[in-house]
Amino acid sequence: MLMPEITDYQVYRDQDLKCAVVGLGKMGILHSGILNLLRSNLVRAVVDKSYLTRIGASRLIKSVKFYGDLDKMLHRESPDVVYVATPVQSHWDIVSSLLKANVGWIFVEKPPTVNYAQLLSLIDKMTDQTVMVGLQKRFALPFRHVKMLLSSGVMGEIEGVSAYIRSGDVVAPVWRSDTIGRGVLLDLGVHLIDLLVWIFDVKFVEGSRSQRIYSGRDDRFEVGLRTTGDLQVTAEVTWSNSEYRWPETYLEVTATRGLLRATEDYLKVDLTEKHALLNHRRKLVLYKPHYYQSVPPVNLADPEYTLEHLHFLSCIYSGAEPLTSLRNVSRSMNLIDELYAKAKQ
Amino acid sequence: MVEELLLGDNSFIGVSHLAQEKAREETKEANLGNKVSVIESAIAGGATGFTFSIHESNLGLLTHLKTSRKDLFRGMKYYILLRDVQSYVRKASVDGTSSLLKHELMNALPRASFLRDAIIASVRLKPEDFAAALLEAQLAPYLKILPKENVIAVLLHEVFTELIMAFDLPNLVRSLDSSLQKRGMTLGFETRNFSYFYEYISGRELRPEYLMTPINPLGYQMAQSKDAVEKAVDCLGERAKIIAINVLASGSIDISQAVKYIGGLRDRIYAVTSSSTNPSRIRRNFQTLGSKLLVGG
Repeated sequence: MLMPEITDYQVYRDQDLKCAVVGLGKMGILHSGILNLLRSNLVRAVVDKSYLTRIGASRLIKSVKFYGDLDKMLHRESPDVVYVATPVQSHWDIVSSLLKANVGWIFVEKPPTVNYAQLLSLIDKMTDQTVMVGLQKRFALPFRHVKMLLSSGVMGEIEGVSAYIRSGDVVAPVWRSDTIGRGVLLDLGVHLIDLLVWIFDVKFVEGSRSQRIYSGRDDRFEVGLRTTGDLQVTAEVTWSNSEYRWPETYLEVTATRGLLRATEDYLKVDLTEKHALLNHRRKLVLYKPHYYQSVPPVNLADPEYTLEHLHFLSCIYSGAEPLTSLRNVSRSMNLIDELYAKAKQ
Repeated sequence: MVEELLLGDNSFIGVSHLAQEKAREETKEANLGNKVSVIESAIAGGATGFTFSIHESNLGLLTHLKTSRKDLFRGMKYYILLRDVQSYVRKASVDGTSSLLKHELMNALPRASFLRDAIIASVRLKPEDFAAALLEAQLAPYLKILPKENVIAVLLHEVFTELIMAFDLPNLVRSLDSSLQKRGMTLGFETRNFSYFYEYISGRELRPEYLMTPINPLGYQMAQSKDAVEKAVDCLGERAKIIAINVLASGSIDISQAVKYIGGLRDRIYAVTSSSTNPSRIRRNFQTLGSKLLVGG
C-alpha cells in the first residue's frame, strides 16, 4: 500500500487540535491552506514578524489570531501543534523555543537547521516531543513505489545509481541578505540527499564539487556518495538550469534485471524478464494521473504536501514517530555538512 | 449542455500536469508560429474560445494575433485566468514573499488608477480592495488589446480560489467581483477542490457564474474525490457554467474515454477545454469533442 495515510484519514483529521503557524510566507500559506481545507479552522494562530503582513492579513482573515511575538502566542493560545515555515536561519531559535515551551508536536520546513550540529542540539533538547521535517519527496508516490520495488528485489542487484535535482529558480545574479553561506545543496539538495539515504541507505561521501554561478553561494553541486552496501551513487544538484520550470528530482537505477527511472511525476521500469509485480510484464510506465486518482482529499500544490500533512496528523493520533522526524533525517543533514566540507578541500 | 469548446494554454506556457518532462518538450515546440498554427487548427476543429493565463508569452501571442491574424483574434471568446502562479512561486522562493509583493507593486505602480485605488485601500485598511486594484493592474495590458465584447470571464487561478476557501475570505470575493463588474466583466473561479468549493459557496450566498475544474474518468485532480466532485457538478451545473479542464487526465487517457465520461455529465457542463502543441491533434480533439458533446453535435 503506497498511501497508508489515506486509510481512515477522517479519524485523525477530526482530532481536537489547535494548530499555529510561524511565518506567513509562501510555505506558511501553503501549510495553513492545506490544513484548513482538510478541516475548517484547524489553524487558529499565526506568528509573523512583519507588521505589514500582520495588519494586512488580520484585516482579511477573521478566523485566525495574528501575533508578532512567538512567546505571546504560545502563552495565549497553547497550541497542540506548531508549523515553522520561516527562513532556515531562524529554525533553530524557533524550534528551541517551542521545545522549551513544551509544545508536543512541531513541524519544521526543510532544511530543518543550517547544519548538523544545530540538528543534534535540537534532538538533545527534545523530551517526549516530536519534530517532523518538511521533506515531502518521501511522500511522492513514484518514489515510494521505487522503494517498494527495490526492496522487493524486482530489479535484482543494483549496479549503479545516478540522480539529480534541478530547478531554474536562480538563473540571474541575485542578492540574499542571509548570512548562512550555504546555497543550493542545503536548500534544494537536502531533498535529494534525503531520498538517497531513505531509498538506498547512502552513508559515505566519496567526492564533492561546488560551483558558484549567480548567487555568490553554491548554485550547483556534483556529488559522489557510497551506500552501506558499497554501491556508488552520483548526483547533481542545481537551481540554475533554465530548462526546469519547476524543481524536478530524478533517480536512475541500473540493475542486473533492468533499468528504473523515476521523478515526482513518473516511474518507468524496463526489465529483462516479465515479473509478477509488473502485472507479468517487462515494462511499467506510470504517471501522476495513474497514482493520484481521487486522492489525496485536498489538492493544493503537489499532492505529496497533503499526504505529508495526513502523515503528521496520523502520527499525532497514534503517537508514532514520523517518517521524516528530526532523528530520521539526521544522516541526511550530516551528509550535507560532509559534502560542504569535502567541496572546500 | 456543452455549448463551448475552449483551447487551453498549458502547452504554450510550459505547464503539464502529466510530467515536467512533457512540459519541457512542449516548451521547445511552442514557438510563436506553432502557437498560431494550433489556434488556427483549433478553430477549424470547432473551438470557440481561448482560455489563457496572465503570462508574458500569452500577451506576446495575443499582440501578434491582433496585428497579423485579425481573423483568429476576433473569432475567439476569451476566458482569462489570473494568473500564472509559477512566476510567483519562483520569485517567492528566491527572494522571499515580501520581495514578491514589492515586485508586483512596482509593476502596477505606473498605472495611475492603481496608485489611487491602492492608496484608498491602504487608508481604509481594506486589503481586499488593494487585491482588487492589483488584479485590475495585472489585467490591464490584456484588456487594452482584447476586444471587450469577446472577454467573457476572468477566473481566479486555483491557488487563490483554494486559499479563499481555506481562510474564508468572502469579502475578498465580493470586492474582486465588484471591481470586475464595474468594468463589465464577470468573475469566475478555477479550483481542484470542487466539492469543497460547492460547500463553501453554498453557505455564503456566493453565486459565481463561471467555474473551471478538472473533470476526467480517473478522478485526477478531483478533490475531495471523484464521487464528491460528480455530485457537486450535478448540484452546481444548473446554476453555474462549469468549464471542464484536464478532461484527458493530462494526456493519460484517450479522447474517446474522455468523451464517454463527459458525455454522462454533459447536461451539467457548459464548456470543455483541450490543449496541445500539435495542430493536427488539437483539430482532431475538437472535432471529436464537438461531434459527441456539443449542443446539436
